[in-house]
Amino acid sequence: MAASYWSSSQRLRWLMPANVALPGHERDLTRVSWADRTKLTLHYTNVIQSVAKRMMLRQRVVASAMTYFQRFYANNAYCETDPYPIACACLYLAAKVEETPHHLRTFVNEMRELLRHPLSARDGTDGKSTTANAARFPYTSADIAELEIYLLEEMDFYMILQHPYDLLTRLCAELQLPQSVLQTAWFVTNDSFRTDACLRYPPHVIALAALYLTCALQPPEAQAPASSAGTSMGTVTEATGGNPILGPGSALPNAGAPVTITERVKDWFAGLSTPLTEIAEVAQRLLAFYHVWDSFHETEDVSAILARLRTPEANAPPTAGPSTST
Amino acid sequence: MDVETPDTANRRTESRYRKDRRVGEGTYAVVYEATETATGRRVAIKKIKVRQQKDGLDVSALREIKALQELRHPNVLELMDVYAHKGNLNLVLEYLDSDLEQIVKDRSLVFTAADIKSWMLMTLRGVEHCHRNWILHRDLKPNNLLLAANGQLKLADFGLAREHADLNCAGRMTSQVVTLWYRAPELLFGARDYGPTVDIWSVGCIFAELMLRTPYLPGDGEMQQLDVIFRALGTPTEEDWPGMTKLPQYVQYRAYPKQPLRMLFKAAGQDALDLLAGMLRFDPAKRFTAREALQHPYFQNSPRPTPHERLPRIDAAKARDEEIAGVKRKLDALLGEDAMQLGGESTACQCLCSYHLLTFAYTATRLASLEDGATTKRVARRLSFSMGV
Ligand SMILES: Nc1ncnc2c1ncn2[C@@H]1O[C@H](COP(=O)(O)OP(=O)(O)O)[C@@H](O)[C@H]1O
Ligand SMILES: Nc1ncnc2c1ncn2[C@@H]1O[C@H](COP(=O)(O)OP(=O)(O)O)[C@@H](O)[C@H]1O
Ligand SMILES: [Mg+2]
Ligand SMILES: [Mg+2]
Repeated sequence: MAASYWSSSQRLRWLMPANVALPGHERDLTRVSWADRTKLTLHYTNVIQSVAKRMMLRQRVVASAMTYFQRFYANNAYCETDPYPIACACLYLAAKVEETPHHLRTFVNEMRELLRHPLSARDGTDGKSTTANAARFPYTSADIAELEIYLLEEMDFYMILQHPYDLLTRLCAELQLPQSVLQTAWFVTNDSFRTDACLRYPPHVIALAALYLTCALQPPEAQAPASSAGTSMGTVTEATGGNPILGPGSALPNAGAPVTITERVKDWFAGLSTPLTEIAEVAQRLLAFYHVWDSFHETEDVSAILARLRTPEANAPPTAGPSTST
Repeated sequence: MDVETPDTANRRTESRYRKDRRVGEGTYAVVYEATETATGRRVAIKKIKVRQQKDGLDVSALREIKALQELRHPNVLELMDVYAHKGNLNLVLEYLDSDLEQIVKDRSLVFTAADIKSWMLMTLRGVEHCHRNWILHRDLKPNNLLLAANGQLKLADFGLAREHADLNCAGRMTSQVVTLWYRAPELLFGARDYGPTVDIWSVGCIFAELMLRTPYLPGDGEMQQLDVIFRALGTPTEEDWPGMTKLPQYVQYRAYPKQPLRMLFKAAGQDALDLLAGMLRFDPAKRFTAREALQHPYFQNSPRPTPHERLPRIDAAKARDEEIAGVKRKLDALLGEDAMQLGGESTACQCLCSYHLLTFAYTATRLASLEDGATTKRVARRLSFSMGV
């Protein structure tokens, strides 16, 4: 698999330099801060994750859908579009590309069901305005079918993706790491698709960064999993129902592995041909992202941020970017 | 909807090509010959038929686009461009004159062992490239091996192609792939976790067909196909093919004896038969991979493969003349004095439609006006006009 990555469209057509600003993001960042835009991405990817979970789609499909979503919003802005139907088109297309197709109307129905309630009514309070009360997903299958083609055009019709999961699984087997490490690194990899790392780094670098973060923050031999290391990492809001990484509630199986694992992994990372700086960059981005996630309250935050994003006169100064926020 | 489709960009792309005539119709697409206006380059445009407005893009169309977008190789059909127009997708492909099936069927063509070796080499190189990129073609047959004007062979029709890299989905692929006569035995027994060697079986069948000048294993139905295969190659035992009896749709077949390939392929070299046998092994695990086949001594031994420019090819002009003459004859019969009644018209129009499909410069607009309310006489007049008689 890795061999064909070098000639893949994913690398040749859709790999962006780590530090070049994306036009779509830029336009949003004139209205909201980086952290707020990140929260919106978190919300929209939560929607993708939830619909996929309800439809029991594989994690690969979710990863592809989120990558398509990131590709689309590399050149488009949240402030100029409605991301919900785009998210739906991404998931619908990804399911087909990953060879587990479902009827379009199933996706539309699931989206409608998930977004039935206005954001602010979630916690019992009534929506303040009529717009907030409107259903958030008024789209039909025909609308999404049209968007599917638009999405494909925005991606220049490149669809095949390689994901970090296979490599991650092989690495953990090769290094004889306990199952808990694989599991946590797997969750970290899932979360990486909620950032633009999937547009800027090859899948093997993301796999390595996920493993690196896991081993650095949760030494495999730690007898009390998710204790001190966990608290700084943030919890998921009830809306996602998941656990990103090392949340206080996470009950990772106790590995009881020999004390040499950390040493072994450290040595192994030192001997890699992939530059450690790249791995560290991805890890850094992920930490910045978890930092935002930590203070994310989906129900209140999203409507507030959207209000600022959609009002033209809003002029929140673009504050801390991913590199300065940690 | 907040989102606007980039319609202008599409129209710009669309005006880059001029559709000249219709050349083929497939299961989910119509294929046109077209010209890239800026360069005058001849291209093929494969227009994906819309199924239902309410559902999205056809899975076959997506498979074709996603595979061709990854593959760039002299022996794989080049996808030059994709554009949407009025909700339809159009694939712009390099234009290819003919296919290997036409070559096999054209009795006026004589071809040598060196020619066959050349076609095999190009086919296997294309297949190897697909497999290196983890893509299974799953519909290899002479009709889907297209030939360029310079004799280059290109794998085409990726409507069934898919990736197989993903370990997570092993055991979940459909066995309903590949045109029956070229379908590997594990597929016929309902295997769902097969691999690249299903394509190699097809290539083996094509190799045999090139030598025999007729399809090698032409079964009548799924059950009968295995019978035809076993009759030709001998019924495999669990020893030949461990795991066979555990396949989902395994049933016991009559035990035909193994026969040497030499009985049927009398003129073939030993190296050719050796390669053929390697590609037609029952056990998918023992069957040659594309790379193993390419490394087979057959390709190093003499005769050297014919350079592609010198391969036998369909004389396009002659073929066209013959087809036109055939249609003319049909029309003459149709439009004769007895056929000048009312009933004649619809038949004439039907005939016109098939006529339109031929390699013949006849514009869609003209056909439309003819179909509208033309009398048989007008049909005849227009026809003689456009055929220059
Ligand atoms: N690329 C093209 N170049 C030139 N003419 C085109 C092209 N695509 C379509 N046309 C012309 O436009 C008309 C309608 O196009 P078509 O592709 O059949 O769309 P639809 O079937 O959706 O109406 C036809 O007359 C066709 O000849
Ligand atoms: N690039 C091309 N150049 C010329 N003719 C083509 C080209 N692609 C397809 N065709 C013609 O259209 C027919 C159908 O196309 P194909 O891709 O094989 O679709 P299907 O899956 O329906 O068989 C082919 O048999 C061939 O005659
Ligand atoms: Mg075909
Ligand atoms: Mg096909």
